[in-house]
Amino acid sequence: MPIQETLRFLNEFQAVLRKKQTQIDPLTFGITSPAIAAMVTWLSNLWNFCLVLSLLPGLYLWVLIQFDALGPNPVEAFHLFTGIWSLRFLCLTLLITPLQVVTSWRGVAPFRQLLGLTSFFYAALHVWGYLSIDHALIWTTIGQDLLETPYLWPGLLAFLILLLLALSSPKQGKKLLGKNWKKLHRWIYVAAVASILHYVMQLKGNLADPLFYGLIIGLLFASRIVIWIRNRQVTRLMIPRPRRLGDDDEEASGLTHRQGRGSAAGASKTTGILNSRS
Amino acid sequence: MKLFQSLPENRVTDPKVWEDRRRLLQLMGTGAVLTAAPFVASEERPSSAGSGRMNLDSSLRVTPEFATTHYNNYYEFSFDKSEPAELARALKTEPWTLEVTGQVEHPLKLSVDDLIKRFSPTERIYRFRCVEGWSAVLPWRGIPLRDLLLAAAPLSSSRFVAFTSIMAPELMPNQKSRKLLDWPYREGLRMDEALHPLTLLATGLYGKPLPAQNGAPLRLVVPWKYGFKSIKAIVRIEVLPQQPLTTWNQQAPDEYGFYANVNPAVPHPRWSQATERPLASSLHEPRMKTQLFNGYGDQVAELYSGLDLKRYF
Repeated sequence: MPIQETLRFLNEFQAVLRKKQTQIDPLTFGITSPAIAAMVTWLSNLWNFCLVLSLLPGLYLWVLIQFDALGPNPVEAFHLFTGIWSLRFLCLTLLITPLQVVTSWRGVAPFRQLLGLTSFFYAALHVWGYLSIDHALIWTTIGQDLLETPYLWPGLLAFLILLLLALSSPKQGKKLLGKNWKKLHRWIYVAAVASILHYVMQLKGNLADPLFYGLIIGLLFASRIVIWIRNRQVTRLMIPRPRRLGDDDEEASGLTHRQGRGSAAGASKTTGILNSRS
Repeated sequence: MKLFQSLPENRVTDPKVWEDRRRLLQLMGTGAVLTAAPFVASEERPSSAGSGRMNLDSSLRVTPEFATTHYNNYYEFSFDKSEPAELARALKTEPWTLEVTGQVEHPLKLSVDDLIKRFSPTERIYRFRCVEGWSAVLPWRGIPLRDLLLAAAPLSSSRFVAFTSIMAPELMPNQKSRKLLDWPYREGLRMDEALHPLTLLATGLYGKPLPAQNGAPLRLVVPWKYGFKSIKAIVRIEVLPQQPLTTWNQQAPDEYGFYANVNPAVPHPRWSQATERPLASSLHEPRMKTQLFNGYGDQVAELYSGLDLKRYF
């Protein structure tokens, strides 16, 4: 029965999500071919699954190119396709943190990294398309075009930010940069705003599409501000009196506070989680 | 006294015209050659009409018909270039009446059939350059606007020609919702531009009647200007003593000038105009360099001698 199998699959999937189990057992579905079983096992890892999903638009683009199906203006279609998918994955990257807060789902970092790198991947295709496909790497024309085309400037800024974030994305980069890593990666907000600007500035007047993505990014920003304010309020609750300048023995006041009130333990726990989510 | 009154006003020659008589004759000669240019139907075969003087050089490759008819800026219907091909079918182009009014001695009101019967259409292969940075090579059929205007006989006080598109909010979604532009779409030309032999009132494309999405049943084609000047679905032509208000110029005067001559040296405020992307060009072809007056400089540059093209863009 397909319904029963679907239910069983969902159960399995839930188990994976709850980390009770790391992979779906192919035998559950009566798959006996070792190659297919290996593939199902590999795909049943959520991260691997997301990796495949994130490469699907690229695969689709490749198929369109192979079949010469990009429409009346293929080069423009290439630009629009890679640009819009980079922006979409940028939105998804920004969606991960609010999602974590709402669902209390731990272990989102690898997914955020995957989505961010995918956004960079499409942005890189976009830039390569501009330099190589559209301008055949003729640098004098490219130079003049860059000077005379203001809508390219925020696009270039967004790409350079994504490039830096992608380069510093591996574990080694995180270790090397220490505290600065987080500061650097906050620039993703600037990249998001810049790419919307890049989108708006090239249109002749109908701004519905970029405004849609702008709205999404705006909502994601707003959710972060809400989280930030909540964090601050929780922190304030923990502090018995307003701190004055020079009152810098933080640890001591923290200690007094924790010993002083029973509810504080709960509050500090909440703060801990919220901080880890920001 | 009586003799003077009976002399039609438009018969009085403007001194500027007889001063430039030689130039006008030259232009008319060019028009005759252009009319004789063979129409090339094949998109692959280069035009054999090559002649430096006409600027229809042999490298002109006619854009594939599918690209031309499925990549249309027709904002009355949609802001998406692929949609007018489907949506514009709603526009009924028969019956259609064109009105020629204003400062003319013989105001005209005629159907498209009358127009075609009265003025013999010619075939012209023209480059087309959009202000957005894409271009095409299109095999038009149409009547020189000059012939129509001279039949209406503009008065000597006339300096400009204004064109108005159809207003049909029931058929045109963005007119109904009053989106973006001040409808109906309006364009304009200086009288000498309108009388130029290259300026065409198109009735056909690729040897067929004009498709709805390309501006049926009548559209303007001014090949040395950005595409937005080439107004579609014209219902009225008005001869005026002063410069008319035009749609895109009203919408964003610093971005879309009244002249809108193709000029690689004058960038749009937000993008370069130095190069262009021909429609249907593959991923292996780089952009093309844009030419001053879209390559028609040897025929139209004189219209603008002494004009600061950066200021009057």
